[in-house]
Parts: sequence; C-alpha cells; structure tokens
Amino acid sequence: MKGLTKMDLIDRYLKAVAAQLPAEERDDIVAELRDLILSRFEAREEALGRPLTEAEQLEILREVGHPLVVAARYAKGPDALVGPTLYPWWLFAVKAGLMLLAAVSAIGAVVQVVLGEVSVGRAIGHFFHDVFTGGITLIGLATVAGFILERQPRLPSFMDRWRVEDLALFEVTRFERDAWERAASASGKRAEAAARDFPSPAGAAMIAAAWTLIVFLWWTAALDIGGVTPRDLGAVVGGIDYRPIVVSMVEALFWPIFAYLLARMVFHLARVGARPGDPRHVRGVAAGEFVFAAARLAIFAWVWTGSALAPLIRFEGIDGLVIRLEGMARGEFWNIPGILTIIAIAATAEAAGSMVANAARMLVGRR
Amino acid sequence: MAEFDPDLFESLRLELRRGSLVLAVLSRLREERYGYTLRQALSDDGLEIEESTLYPLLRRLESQGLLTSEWREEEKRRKRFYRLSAPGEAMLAALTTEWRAIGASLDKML
Repeated sequence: MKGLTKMDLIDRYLKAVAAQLPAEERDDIVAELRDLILSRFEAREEALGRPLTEAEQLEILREVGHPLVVAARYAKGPDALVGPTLYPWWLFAVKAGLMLLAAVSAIGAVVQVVLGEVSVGRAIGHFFHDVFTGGITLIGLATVAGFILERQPRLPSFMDRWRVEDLALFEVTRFERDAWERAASASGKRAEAAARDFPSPAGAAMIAAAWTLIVFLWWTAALDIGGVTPRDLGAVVGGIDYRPIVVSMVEALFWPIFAYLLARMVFHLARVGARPGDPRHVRGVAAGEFVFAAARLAIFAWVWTGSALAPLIRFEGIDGLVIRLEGMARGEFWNIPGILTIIAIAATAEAAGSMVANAARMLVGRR
Repeated sequence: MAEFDPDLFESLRLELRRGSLVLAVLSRLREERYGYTLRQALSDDGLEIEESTLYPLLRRLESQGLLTSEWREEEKRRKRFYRLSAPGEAMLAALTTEWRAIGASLDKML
C-alpha cells in the first residue's frame, strides 16, 4: 500500500462500497461518504496539528467500517435470509421434513433388505447417504422458501390467523417421553378427546399433502425409495411374467396419475386454510372429492377394459368370480390374478361409493 | 448466581439506546445540519452514534418523509444538509409525548 495518496486510499475504499450499492443511489451515497471521510481526516489532522500518516488514515477507514458492512446498512430490504419472525417456522419445517425424510429412507432401506436386494450394511449406508443428501436439499429448499417469504410485504395468513385446534400438528417434532406417553395412554376423556382431535382438519390436510407429495415424487422418479421405481413393481409369479404388464400400465398411466397426484396435492393444500364447519367449505371439499373419485373410477374402468391387466382380472359373471375366489379359499394364497381382482373390485367400489357419498355431502352441506 | 456480565450489559444497553436514536436525530435536526456536524452535536450532548448507523438512518428518515435534504457547497466541498420536514415535526412531537410517558411509567417502577 506504500505510496498511495490520501485520495487514492479513499477512492479505493469508496469503490468497494459503491460496488455493493444499488445503482440509483450509488453516486449520492458515495458522495456523502466521501465528505464524511474527508471531514474525519481533517478533524484528526487539526487535532494532531500535522498531516496524517497512511496508517492513521487506514485506521479512520477501519472505524468507518468494512465496505460490505457499510453498504449493507443502506440496503432497504430485510438484512436476514430468514428473519426472526419467520425463523421458528423455518426451523419447524426443517425438523418435520428431516423426520419425514428419515422415516421414508428407513422404509426404503427395510424394503431393500426384505427384497434381498442389498445387505443390511449397505442398506444402512444408503440410509445415511439418502438422509444426508436429501437433508441438505431440504434445508436448501426451506431456506429459498424462507428467503422469498421474508421479502413479501406481509406474512402468509396461516402464520397469524391460526387456530388452537390446529396446533396439534406442531407437536409432531417433539421427541420427548411425555409426548409419546400421552399419545400411548389414550385413556380418560381428555386423552380420548385429544386423540379424536388429532390430527386437526388443517393438520390432516397438511399431512395428506405431504404424503401425496412423496407418492408424486416417487411416481416421477424424483424420489428414490430403496431404488424401487413404479416400473420395477412387476415380477414373475406363478408362471406369469408381470413385468411387461406393469411397465405398459405405468407408461399408459404416467400422465393421468401425474395430473391426479398434482391436483390432489393442490387440493389438500387449499384445504389447510379453510374453516371446517363452514357448509360452503364442506360442499367445496365434497365437490373436489367427487371429481377425484370420478377420476379414479375412470382409471379403473380403463384397468378393467383396456389395460394390459384386463385379461387377467376379468371374470365372467358372478360364477366366474366365485370360481376364482374358491381357488384362493382352498389355500392358493399366491393366486395373484385373484388378489388383483379383489383389489380392483375394492378400489372400483371405493371410487363409486366415494362419488355417491360426496354427491350427498354436496346436497346437504354437512359431513 | 452468575457474576455481572459486561458483554451482556453492552448488548442490552445498545438495544435500549437504539429506539432513542431516532428521537435524538429528529430533535437535533430542527436546525439544519450535515452528517458530520450532526454526529458532533449528538456527541456533545452525550449521545455517541457511529457513522455507519447514522448515515443510513438519515437516509431512511428522509425516505419516510420525516427529513428533507439538499446538497450545498460549504468549506469548498459539497455537503448534504438535512432538516426536519413538517411531517417530521409532527412525528417528533408525538414521539416526544410517548417518550415522556415511557419515562414516567419507568420512574414509578425503578
């Protein structure tokens, strides 16, 4: 730094400050800071009765502050990635997300070991790898979300317009003994009431949205659950190769199910802020569920008639069904077509029943 | 019982002072001043304030309409002079009332 004049020193300092400032205010702020620094130099020179040494000049600049810090004080927006109001929400989201991630990864690891795909040691290794990489991504995404929310003119309404009924959700991150004991000892009226109210409607909607998200991510192969993708679900059982059937069905259903899960997730999230007792809310939810049930019914209509699985699960009249189920009753438990038939019947009946029940809810406006 | 913690005292003291700075700055700008002389005026009255706090504060108060400013030449250099605006006067009066009320309440307690 030898040989720098006073002006060089100040210019160099101010250039560093200017680089951090918004363009529209830059010149103005720099001019004011220049005057401030010169005034301080002059005041010190006057007090000492001689020109300042370079070390003394540097000392004054250090007192004014590091250019990054000085410029940051002029920033208009919030000066934190996630500020103190938002931070507890951020922390909760990260904790709950990590717990969910650990649970999903653990299930994936157990599935892998049960299927005999990997040894226990490797599964544990995968588990920690998944939790670590997933955790870093999760924290990153939560921070990006927090950064954006922090810069909105007002907080989202769920942060200040909360209700006591919904607070049970926030106990999920408690790992202490008494919380588990309370959950376990469901005796007495209060415990029963607590069990009935947990999860609250908003909590249930959030949990449902989270589960839908996991299924969605798995379906789109964004989330790796033990290395098993939807296409891998087939196997050769009882002389029938189910693998091409599964692959063709997954391919045919990819976009319908993609759209279904996405819509379902939006639907669950939309329910979070609503008031459960409100007839309009009940009718709205019922209308939504009606549409989803109709979509499921349409998918199963295709499964019965047009899919690669149709020839396997179809039966001729009640007699045909009875013959098929008889085989299972005699102990052919791994009669896969029989099991699939039952599942398809149950799922179709559920979709039809859901349509009827929700049509009724739409009419009466009550659950 | 832990011993008196000077670092904690310092951080609490700064927190306590922070709110009063606006009041001090507004009151000292009833008379037109530029940043450096304002800081000296505050310092002469026993209120030290860092430039890195004062200058951005002045700019914020101006953007809130409580101060007006103008660039003028003095002592062979262009300087930015600040002064209390009409809304600033009203705000200073309201804040002064509030400050006195807080002081009166605390006096009863302390």
